[in-house]
Amino acid sequence: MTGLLEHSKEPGAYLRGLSSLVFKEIEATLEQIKGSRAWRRMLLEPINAQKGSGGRALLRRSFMTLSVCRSLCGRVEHALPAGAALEFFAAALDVFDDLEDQDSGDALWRKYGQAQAMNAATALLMLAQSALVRLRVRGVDELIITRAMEALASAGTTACTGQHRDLQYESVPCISEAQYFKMTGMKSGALVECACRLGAVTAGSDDYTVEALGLFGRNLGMAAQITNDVGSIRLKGSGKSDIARRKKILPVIFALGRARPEERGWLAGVYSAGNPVDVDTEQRVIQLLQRSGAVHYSLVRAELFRQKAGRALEKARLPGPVNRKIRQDLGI
Amino acid sequence: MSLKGIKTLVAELHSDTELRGRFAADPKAVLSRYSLTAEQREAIMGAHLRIGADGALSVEENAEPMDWWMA
Repeated sequence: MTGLLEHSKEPGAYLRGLSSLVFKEIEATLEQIKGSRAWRRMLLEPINAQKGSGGRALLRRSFMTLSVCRSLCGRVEHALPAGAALEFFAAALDVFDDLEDQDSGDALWRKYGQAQAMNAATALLMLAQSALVRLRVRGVDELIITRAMEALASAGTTACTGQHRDLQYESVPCISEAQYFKMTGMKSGALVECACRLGAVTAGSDDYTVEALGLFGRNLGMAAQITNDVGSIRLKGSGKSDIARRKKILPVIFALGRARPEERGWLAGVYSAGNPVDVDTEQRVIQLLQRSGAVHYSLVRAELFRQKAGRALEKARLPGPVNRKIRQDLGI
Repeated sequence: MSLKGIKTLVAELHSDTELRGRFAADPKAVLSRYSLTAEQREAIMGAHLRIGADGALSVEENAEPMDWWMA
């Protein structure tokens, strides 16, 4: 196992090694489920969807938990159940999100129906708890297990509050930057924060270190979400971009406030119209976002959050080699 | 932390060809004329801004190195 946990000349091998360890833990947790093989396969589908396929198949969400734990205490064994819990938990949120938004072509509910998908998401939430209980198998202290459960529960309620806001904002043509950042912090920031907290908790860190690494994760999650917002523009013409779905992403919020008056009016009209955004309109919106500096501004804001993440990591007062390992793993 | 300086700079860079030319030649001199913190100046320089030989401005929409989190 040790060989898998060392950085090699090929970083992908290191990532895949950690990913396969978490996947084994996921399968071990799933074995507790009574029922048919088909039911277990169904529960694995949203996790496999995140994992992807081929040589780039990775469980990205749990990687952060494992990286933080390994950097702090030199081992990942204690973090594996926490990583599996995070994957179950995030998969449940994905299935619920697809049910709420109804905008994904490959959602679980399209294949099995809404009732089955809702039931599967509920089972995935329970599996997240079961995965954390498996920390006992590895001899982890009960207090650490309780702290890990608290971290997951807190992230869950925060993410649901963020989703509540997101759903509320669907009925308004525009939101402010402050509203966007509050919502994004709750939806995306909270999950990455949870990933880091779980890594620190399972490494046996004190409260100060857990808080500092939580703040590090929250800011990194914000940076990742804004980068993802900008990346979504690249899906133009597919009907899957955030523009096609009239998502109130940061570049659009900037353009609605700073583009030329006639362009602002046109964009507001596109976002308040009831009919679908066609490919030509989507292309015009994207050109406007690039021309007005909205994409540029968004990437500057992402960079500012990355800086904040870096400062939070410094605040954790970790030994130099630990700090460097985390930065190396996460590309900070 | 006020973001007014960043918003003004970004909007002007994207609408003023002459300013873009000066930014391409000496970004620090241009940045010093706006009310920006040291962190904000660093973020602007790190945001993958590219000014082509023809003066056209583009931003590299490169999600790396955040790919580890977002699929």
